[in-house]
Amino acid sequence: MTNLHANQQSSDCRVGLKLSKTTFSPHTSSHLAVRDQEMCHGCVLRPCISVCPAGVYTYCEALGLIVAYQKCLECGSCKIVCEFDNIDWNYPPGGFGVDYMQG
Amino acid sequence: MGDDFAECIVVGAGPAGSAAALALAKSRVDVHVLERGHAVGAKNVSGAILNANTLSHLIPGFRAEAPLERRVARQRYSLLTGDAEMGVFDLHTSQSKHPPLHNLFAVNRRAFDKWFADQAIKVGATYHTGIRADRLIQDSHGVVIGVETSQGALHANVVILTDGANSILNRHNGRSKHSQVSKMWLGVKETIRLPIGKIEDRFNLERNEGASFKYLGEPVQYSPGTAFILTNNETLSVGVITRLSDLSDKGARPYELLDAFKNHPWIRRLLEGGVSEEYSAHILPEMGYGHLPPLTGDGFLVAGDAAGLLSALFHEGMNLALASGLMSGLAAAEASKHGKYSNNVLGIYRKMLHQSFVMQDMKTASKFHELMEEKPEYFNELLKATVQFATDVTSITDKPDKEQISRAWHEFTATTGRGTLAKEAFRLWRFLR
Repeated sequence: MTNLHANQQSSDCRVGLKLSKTTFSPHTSSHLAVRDQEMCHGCVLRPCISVCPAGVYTYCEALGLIVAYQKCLECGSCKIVCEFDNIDWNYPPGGFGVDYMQG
Repeated sequence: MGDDFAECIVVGAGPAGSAAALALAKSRVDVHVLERGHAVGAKNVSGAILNANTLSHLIPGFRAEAPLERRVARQRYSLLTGDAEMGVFDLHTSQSKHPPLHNLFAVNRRAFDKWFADQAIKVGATYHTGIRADRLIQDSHGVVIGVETSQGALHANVVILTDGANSILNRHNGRSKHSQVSKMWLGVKETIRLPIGKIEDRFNLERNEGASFKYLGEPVQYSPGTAFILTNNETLSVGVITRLSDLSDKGARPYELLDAFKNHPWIRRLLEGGVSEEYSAHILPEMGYGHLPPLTGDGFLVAGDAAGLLSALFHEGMNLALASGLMSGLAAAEASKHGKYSNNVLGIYRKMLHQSFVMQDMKTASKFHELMEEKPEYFNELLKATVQFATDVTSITDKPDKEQISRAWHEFTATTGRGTLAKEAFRLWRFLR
């Protein structure tokens, strides 16, 4: 029965539940920036969305690529898979961001 | 921080950084470690099994002092398909109490990295937490003379970069080619607390023993990569490591792979009643022996993940980080004695790496990586056919055993091609010797 429920979870639900266990101290400004929204508009695969283990990226026509930097796990996958080098990637300022208790 | 000066700056307080700091402080070099986390260990993630061989040379008493979790006494590898698990290696030995098998431990990185940093502090290293290093400062000749940080510039005679997978060396120029993406692995992990006593029962362990279970096949969509379950004191580390290229090609989401693994019928039972405590992710840059970044330059050295010194498939990282960090520290201390920090002088670090197990292991891992890229079917068709063969051989029928085995063999060779197994076994044997 529990398995059935697990299988029915949407991907938002899955990643949301996981992130709810991790501690964050987000800074007030984003450490991630999209260089040119037009690029994202023209991008077919948008691999940043699927590879991000925290579901930081979502895309909608009206707003373009939305970056929920607060839940970033700081792995750097998005920057590596972006063929257009369109993500200005940095770590959050010192002392901010994810705070792993177990590692 | 103002416009300060240190003899040596180490960027990043992971195992590589603290090993370097420890070596430098022991040689009475004024060493300052910059850590971007608000505390040491706050940003560090790993597969959580420490090969403590280098550590045992560095701090012989670590067993009594370090915050270690269980000592690994059981190591299991299995092939996992949708409906079967075939163990291909499963060693559980009480010899793990004694050398040379006694140096494998599960660790909580937050606790372990903090302890390791404290060892460097005890001998005189200075740590600054909550400081992000942003770029290297170079003089007009390109010689590295310090680090620009979020709190101002810090100048030094020599800088050691142990700032992990997203080192300042490549943080801002992330231009990615597919060839690079296939060398980058992503690990996602959950730490899951089990009720007291369940770990011993489910993994067949004594109170102080630990297990490392690794799985190939279904959990990584039959691509190169592994899923794992590791036992800490009262929690399990459960994770999946896969190539970024496989993730992006298949559009698979890492947390979905992790959930599918956790929900596999044979895995679910091991985790039952567990409560998830933390979710983490980490990139593993396995550039390969032939494509390592420059390990030294005028005024700087690079060690650990930042130098690409790891093997994702072999789950080897912390020990290589510790060893390379230590050597970079020894090399910087030697340079400091002579007051010269050119690439040429710091080159003794590269020499030390090449004479040690570090580069030998990197060569082996690279050869294995190449073999794997040539033969993706190892992880797919061959894996599935092997599990099917085992299933066919053991099925109960009216046929005589001999006929059944020969039929199963026929099925196996029909899938994999005649002589494939012998050929592949020979290749592997030639590779390993």
